[in-house]
Amino acid sequence: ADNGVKVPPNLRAGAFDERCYSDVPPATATEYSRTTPVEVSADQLNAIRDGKAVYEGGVEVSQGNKYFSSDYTELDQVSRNVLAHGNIFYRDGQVTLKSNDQLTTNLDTKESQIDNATYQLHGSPARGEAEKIHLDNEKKALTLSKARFTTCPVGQESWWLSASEVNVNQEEVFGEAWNATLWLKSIPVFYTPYITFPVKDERKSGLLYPNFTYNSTNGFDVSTPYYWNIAPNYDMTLTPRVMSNRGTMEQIEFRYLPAAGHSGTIYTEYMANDRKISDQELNPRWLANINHNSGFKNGDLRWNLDYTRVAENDYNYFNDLHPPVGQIVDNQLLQSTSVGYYQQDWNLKTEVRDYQILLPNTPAPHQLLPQVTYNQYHTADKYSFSFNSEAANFGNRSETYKAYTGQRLHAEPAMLVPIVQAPGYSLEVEGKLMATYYQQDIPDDMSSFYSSYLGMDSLESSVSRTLPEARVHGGMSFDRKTSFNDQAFTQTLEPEIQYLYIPYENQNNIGLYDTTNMQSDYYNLFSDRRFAGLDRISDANRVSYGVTTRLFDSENTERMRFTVGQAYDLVAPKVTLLPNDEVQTNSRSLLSLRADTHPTDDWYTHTGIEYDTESKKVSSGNGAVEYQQEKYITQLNYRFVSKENYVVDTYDDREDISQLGAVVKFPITRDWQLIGAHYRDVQTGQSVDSLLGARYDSCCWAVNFTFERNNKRDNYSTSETREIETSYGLQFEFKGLGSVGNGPKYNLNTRLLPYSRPFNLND
Amino acid sequence: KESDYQQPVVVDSVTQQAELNENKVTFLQDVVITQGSIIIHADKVVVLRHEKGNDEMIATGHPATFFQILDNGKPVNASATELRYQLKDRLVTLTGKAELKQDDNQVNGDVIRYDIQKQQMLAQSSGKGSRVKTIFLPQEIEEFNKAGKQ
Amino acid sequence: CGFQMRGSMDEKLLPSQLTAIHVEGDNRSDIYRLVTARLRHSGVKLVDRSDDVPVLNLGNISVSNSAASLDNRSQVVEYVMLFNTDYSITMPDKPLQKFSARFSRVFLNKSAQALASSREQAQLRNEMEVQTADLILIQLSRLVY
Repeated sequence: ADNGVKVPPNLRAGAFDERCYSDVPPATATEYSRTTPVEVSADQLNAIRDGKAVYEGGVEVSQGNKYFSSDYTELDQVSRNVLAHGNIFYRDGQVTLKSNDQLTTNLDTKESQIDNATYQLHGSPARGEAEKIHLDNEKKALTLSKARFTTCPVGQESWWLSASEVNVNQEEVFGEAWNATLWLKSIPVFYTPYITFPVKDERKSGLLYPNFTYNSTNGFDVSTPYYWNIAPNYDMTLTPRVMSNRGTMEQIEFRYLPAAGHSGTIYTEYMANDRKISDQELNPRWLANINHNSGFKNGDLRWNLDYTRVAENDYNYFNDLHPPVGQIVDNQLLQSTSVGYYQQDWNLKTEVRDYQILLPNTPAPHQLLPQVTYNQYHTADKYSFSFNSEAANFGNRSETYKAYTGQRLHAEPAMLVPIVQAPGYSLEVEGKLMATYYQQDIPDDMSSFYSSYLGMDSLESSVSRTLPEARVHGGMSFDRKTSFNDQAFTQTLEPEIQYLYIPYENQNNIGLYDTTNMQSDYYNLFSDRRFAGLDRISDANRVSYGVTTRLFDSENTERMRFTVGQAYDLVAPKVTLLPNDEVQTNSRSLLSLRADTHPTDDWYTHTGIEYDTESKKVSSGNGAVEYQQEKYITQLNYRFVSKENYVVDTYDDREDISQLGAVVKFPITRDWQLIGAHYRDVQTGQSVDSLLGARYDSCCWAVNFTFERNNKRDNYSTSETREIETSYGLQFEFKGLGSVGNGPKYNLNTRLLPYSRPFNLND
Repeated sequence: KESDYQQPVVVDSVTQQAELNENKVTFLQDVVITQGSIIIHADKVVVLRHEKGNDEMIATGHPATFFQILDNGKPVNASATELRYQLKDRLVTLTGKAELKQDDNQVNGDVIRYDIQKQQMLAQSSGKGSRVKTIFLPQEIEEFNKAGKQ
Repeated sequence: CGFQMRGSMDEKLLPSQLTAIHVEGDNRSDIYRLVTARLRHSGVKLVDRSDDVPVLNLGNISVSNSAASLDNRSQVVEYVMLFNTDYSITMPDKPLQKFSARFSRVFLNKSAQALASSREQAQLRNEMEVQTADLILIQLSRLVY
């Protein structure tokens, strides 16, 4: 393995380009071995046997690629001490030291100290000076006192970081510095009595630099994290945070790894008094998040705990304070623990799960108290058999929306028989039997939300449902050589067809526990599940058909893919999610179209449409075009979702979504760069989120200006009127040190919508 | 060794010239001087007699060489174009491509003044770009370390 | 229009030279079971690692949700679930070839029906695992032996 010298990433300048650091030697491994002779030359040598050997006049010592020179060097052969002074210069594969003062070292203990020296790391812009550099090669510890550090080229010192003492130990993850002051030219701009910085970024990235932002809701928002390395497997980060419009808050993260296979993180936030919140009873505001994973018997037996909670009714906690944990999907805080035993052919898992929903007066989702799943698989050469089964006890703790609860038992044996699997032709048959038994408890004071709004007025206390399923799926694959403006391509044509039969059984007597409709797309046409969850198994007498054509260039890279598919219901399905939903009359499903191209290395396009052939209306659709080059990114994207896609809904005034987005990044000059992102609702002309940013890049520092305006989320308001949130960012990035300053991180993500690339042609 | 200096000085050469009035004797061609463990080889040796036995030998050669076994049994080899040996002061001065080898440790320079009694050596360069060089061989470092540890 | 069917009717999906393969990965995971089932159905024997047998290494799967569109209350409407997995195929005494499979599916933000929404996400993830297994088989069939 190459022992290429790894400069800690944060000490590497952004673009370590020759423009700034042409005179910095590259980092090479220090060649040192017992057998490399040491060569000393000088104008004069005066040596007494077993006494002092004194070299004077241009003394030079070299061993391998280690080189040392000074005006005067004295070696005491008994004590093994070396003293040198005058024009001291030391260089090995990784660092260059210069000093006009004095150097002492001891050949036995390998401890050396150099006074008033300047240092330059190799292969990195990091350099500086120190009144005393103490190096202990045995313990790999380096201590600098009254030190200065910068990554600016010589002569262009725009900033220095000074500290009374810095110590770095290669073994430790962190270096420490005391009385650290950041100087802009000669103005001290930042001081901290104690700061830790990552030497090896195993556990912590540059997170630990003070961070402050300004926006119209929280005002100045300053947090300074302190990392406490309690023990090799335990560490804690304490972060006091001050928000000028709200008050102070503590964030504590405790991470533990007691033994291999067992690890976890406990994260808490506590704010005694938020001045800005309208409902003062909500104080104190707090959040707790625990994430634990344990594996026993090398991962066969696994226990997981994933729990997040905020104070009761603190619905805007995430919208106001933006904690860094806890939300896979907005407004749902998962509170679950599960134990599972996993083997190659079977697995058994039990889980207890609840949610905290951050939406006022909404019906609570059902809980799993618990759910036990048992799956068994048997694969043979000619078929594969699976047996999936579940037993669930659904609870519901909502008082305002009293709900039905119940137990469900489900067993699903399935047999898949691949009949033909040729390169150009495949046919497989699958049979399933789905048997489900419900024991439902329907309270007399059940909320009208369920009985009338959702129309569940015919729920029965015990229901059993048994449905067989038969599926035949075939596909073919053709290809041909073709050319397109004199470039050779291989074009494929892949038709696909499936027949699915599931008989009809009225399921309006079953409540909805974990079932909802799925978004229709090409893949869903060929799925046997129109509804996710087991409480609705749609009847089907359906033929699905589709074709995909792709273009591969001479290097086998997929340059274009076009897919179209639809399903024809010989008998329109009668099962609906809610009893009062109108039954589908159109015998054709939504037509699914999808086109992706990657014509040249810089251009990407993507479009996807679900079109209702009967009503001649688009149900949902999205598209994106992107030009991307090394320093340029421009993307235009559009998304449309008609409100019919929502079946069970909490808002009754939902509108279609027609969102246009633009993202752009381009350099203006060699040092100046602009970024921008804007999302707008085309129908209402409302701007959703707009970001503007500029960046000036110098050799060792950069300054980012960002300005963002977005609609503030307020989970209390159901009306449209909302507060506009503006945030300003001014960030000084000291390359190699991390960034200090405020404002959103300088990237193309806006606060509400991340920059995403919906182009996934598989090469 | 210390006992060397009680030994008689024996000089062997092809020809010998003595200028008694100047107290100078010159030996030419394959001159070999021995005194106990000390052996000097040279092309020409001039011996100058001074009062109270403070004789002085100036050996020149291409190069002239000097060998002695020290008390610790370790040999010392020296060579230079001119080698001046002052018997009473036990001082050897090597000039011109001077080289001194001791315990695998070699020193080169323009002038090396080696005081045998005090075991002290002073090497100097003539300043015209030439330098005093020392090479520590690895085993030397090992012993150096071991020796240092006693 | 010049299209011919790939291969002939009686040919196997995977070339006949591929009679045995060693699959590396967590043998308790769904993707491992889906891929090994398809290999067996194509008549390929699963064997232990040895130098003259190709090795299929199934990397781990990363799934992430990212908001894609917002309503007029700035609440998220559409999430895109991004599914990404890397795998590698090493033919005997040939360099390792790296591949990646990327799929994305859309689901709506149903904050109130949390249990149903997480069931939908699990269904999408399983379906994308099946798509990945099919893609790995196609990739194996396209490799030159």
